[in-house]
Amino acid sequence: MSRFFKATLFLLLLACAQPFAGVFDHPLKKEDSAGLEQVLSSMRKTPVVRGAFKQVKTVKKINREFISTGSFTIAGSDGIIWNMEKPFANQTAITKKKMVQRNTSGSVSEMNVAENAVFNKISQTIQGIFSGDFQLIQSQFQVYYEPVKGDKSRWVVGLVPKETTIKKQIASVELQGGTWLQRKDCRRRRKSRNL
Amino acid sequence: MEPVKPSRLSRKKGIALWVLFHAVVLALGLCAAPWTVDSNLYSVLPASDNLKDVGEAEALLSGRTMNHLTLLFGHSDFAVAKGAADEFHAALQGHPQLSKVDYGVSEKSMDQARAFAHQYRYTLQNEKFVEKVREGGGAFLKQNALEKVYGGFSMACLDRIDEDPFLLSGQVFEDMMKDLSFMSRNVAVEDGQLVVRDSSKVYVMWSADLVGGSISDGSASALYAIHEKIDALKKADPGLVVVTSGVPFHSYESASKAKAEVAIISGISIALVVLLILAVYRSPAPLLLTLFSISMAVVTALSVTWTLFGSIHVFTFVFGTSVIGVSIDYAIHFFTSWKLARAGQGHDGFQVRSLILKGLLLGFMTTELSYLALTFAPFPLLRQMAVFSAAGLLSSVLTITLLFAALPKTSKPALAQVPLKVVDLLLGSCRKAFGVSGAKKWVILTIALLVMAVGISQVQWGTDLRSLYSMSPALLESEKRAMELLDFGSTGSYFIVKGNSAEEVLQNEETFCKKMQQAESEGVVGNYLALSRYIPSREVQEKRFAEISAALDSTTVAEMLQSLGMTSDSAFRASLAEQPKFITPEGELPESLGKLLNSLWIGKVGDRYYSAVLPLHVPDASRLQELAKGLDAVTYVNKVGQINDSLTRLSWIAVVLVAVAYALVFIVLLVVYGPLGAFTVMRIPVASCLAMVAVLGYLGIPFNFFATVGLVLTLGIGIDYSLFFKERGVQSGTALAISLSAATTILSFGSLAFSGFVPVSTFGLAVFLGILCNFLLSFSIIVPKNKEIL
Repeated sequence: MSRFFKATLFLLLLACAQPFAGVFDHPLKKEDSAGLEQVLSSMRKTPVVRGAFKQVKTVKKINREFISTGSFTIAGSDGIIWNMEKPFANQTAITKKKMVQRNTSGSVSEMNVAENAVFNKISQTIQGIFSGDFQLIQSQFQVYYEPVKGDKSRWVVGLVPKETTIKKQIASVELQGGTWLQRKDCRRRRKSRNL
Repeated sequence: MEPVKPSRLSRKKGIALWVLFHAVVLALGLCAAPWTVDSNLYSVLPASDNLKDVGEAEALLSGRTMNHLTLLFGHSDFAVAKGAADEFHAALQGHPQLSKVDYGVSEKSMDQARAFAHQYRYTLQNEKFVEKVREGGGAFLKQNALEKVYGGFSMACLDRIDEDPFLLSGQVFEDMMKDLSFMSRNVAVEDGQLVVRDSSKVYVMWSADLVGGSISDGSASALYAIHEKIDALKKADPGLVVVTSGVPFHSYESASKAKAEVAIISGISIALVVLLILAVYRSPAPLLLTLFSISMAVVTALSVTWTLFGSIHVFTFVFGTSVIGVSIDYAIHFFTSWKLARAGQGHDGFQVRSLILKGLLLGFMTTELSYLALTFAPFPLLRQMAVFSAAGLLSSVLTITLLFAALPKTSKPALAQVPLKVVDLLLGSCRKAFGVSGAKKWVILTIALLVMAVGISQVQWGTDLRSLYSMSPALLESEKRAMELLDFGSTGSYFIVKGNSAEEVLQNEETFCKKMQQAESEGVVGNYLALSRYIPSREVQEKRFAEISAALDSTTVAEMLQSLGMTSDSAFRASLAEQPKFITPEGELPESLGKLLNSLWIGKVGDRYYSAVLPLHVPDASRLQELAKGLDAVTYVNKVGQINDSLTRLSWIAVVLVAVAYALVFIVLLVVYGPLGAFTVMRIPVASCLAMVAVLGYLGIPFNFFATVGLVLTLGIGIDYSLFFKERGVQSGTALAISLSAATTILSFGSLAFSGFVPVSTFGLAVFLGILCNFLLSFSIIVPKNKEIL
């Protein structure tokens, strides 16, 4: 029987994130590689991770933040279920092959991931980040790493996509965690930001 | 010695006429510069009759496809594969003979696509989305946008949300990304590159178009550079695999192979002929004069072909090696008669010409009639081959009858005795073989006919294009690998849609796409690519704008802006005021969309406009044709199948042409020899043709279009032997000349049978068999009158 771990994705406001803002000044060193791989692989050992999320998208142009909350399930390499509850119900399931969405009215839309190379890449990347796949992360991103001083169990990882197509969607990703992923700060290119 | 009648044409006049003819031909040839050689594989093929209506449009589309090259650099380590592809790209980038080089996904192309989607966000929405707008109105648009704003995995860009609060551009962008520029389900993006993976390797994709499209246009240097770079990269890292795909690679290989073949076939033919002539005539004069005659024939053939066709196909060269075999025959007849006369006692060239003139002209006329028959075939390459050979042969006849006629009596050694003795032995054997009579004759005839009938019954009739081209194992493996890796799903079949304007084409396509959608839902096609899916007709674009803008009433807009926390609608209103914007296939398109649409939009050809619809992942291609039924504007194109039909139909035309050529020759012979004489001569090439067909049947070689062409030449060339025997009667000299002629012709065509190009080898083998039978059966003419003839 699978072990279930519960995690909570904490929303940290930008101000709170300030202590880690310098992670992008610390490219992953060779000597830190093994340590980071170990941290991430411990995340992978948990076959199913469930948690709550709070997502903040910041659009500077209109000076607005769009906040959504709900729960998520990460089932190893099988996929992710993103269950948004507020401001309205919306479920998204992403597997290696497709993305299925069900909206408030109950209507279901489906996208074959293989038919869209760009989305395919984004989907793989997102799954890689959430599942802590070090190999995948390293192949897709320039990796920055900064262990939290005084607390070896905590870490901060900065990721900058290598891919032009991904860069168009995501400028950088900042991950914070311990035994499991606790916070993901995804900065959109130019004027918007996801937390 | 036979009495010699003086010829009417004097030596001087003859030489002057020869010089004049060749001077004119050479001048024409010089004016035809630049002397291009076409080695494009596709230009060998005839146009399909079924495509006459859309022929030019189809040729234009095929031309684009034919120019395309795809390379995949594979390695177990992505970094190595990418490094090799980068190095290759750096080496080939900017090559003057390469265009539309496609390597990697540029940041610029993504920006362009987003800007384009924003600009046409009201008019390029897909039908499914508009249908939802129709059903749900403004409420749907609002909810759809909010899902994108709050959703976790949306590709929608929020940068211009003030102008586009309903995120319509994100919808268009997503549609564009689907299938866009990749077309293959296996292709992914990695480190800025398009890549495909198999179980052990990752392949980086590189593609380009050859400028001009054909190897003859100088693009061979680009292919040479490509091969050279690939070899260098492989040498540097033996683990690197480079998969190549595209018609230019095949044309390049065929051209290289054909050129090597021309050299080998011509070289062997000439060497053997030289040895034979030297051995028989025992002096260099006949050899040098014969080579001179052949050279003039080849120069004439080239000049006339370049003048009439503008360029010469490399396979005409291969076929043209037969000119050596044919034109040499007349020189042999001339020099055998010339040398047979002892020094100081025999004939000079003028007298020899009178001796052989009738047989020579009859032979020339029948051969030219055969070539003439070929020129009626609706197949440009065949016409070119016929013109090449006919011109060469004419030059050869003129050289012998006008130039060689000026030769004095020879004082050189007479003919070698050994060949004469061999021919005498042959004559003796043939007298015995063909001199049978009574019941024995009928038994032999019956057995021969039965054997031929069985052989003919086993013949596989028809032409299958796929069996005519055999690519090298390396190229075949490469194409298979590319097909497996990319899995474009293309069947080689497609539809061409026409209209009187670009708008009409799009409207016709939209009507047709309803059938394609139905076919997709029924599983007849897995998917399809059509221009109107990306750029609908103006009519549809107007309708879509009207429906979407109607749903954006002031309440919906106000609610949406409120949901987004926006206080002002000025940016939205100002942006909407600039709408609608319409796009046509000829409008300015982003790079990525342009690449895809370039393969679908054919454009204006003549007075009409054309586009292509590509069915993909088709389980049963035979069901495609019915999709175009009842739609006048849509033509189904299955090039391989339709060319096969055309070639098979051409084969029957060629058979009719053979019959017409035979009838004409028979009429000529009837006038010259009377009914019995004409029959005596004609039965030999007819029997030879039947025997040739039967042998092909026994060998299991399909009797295709190219074998039919061999049939025509069997008559044209083979009948000469019977004619000369008929004309010159029973004598060792004639038998020697005929044997030498047959030997040289058999050598020429026999060598073609070894060609790696199946049409050439089939043609060579057919003519070889036909000529061999003609030669052997022609001895039946020499049987004394008191013996019955088989």
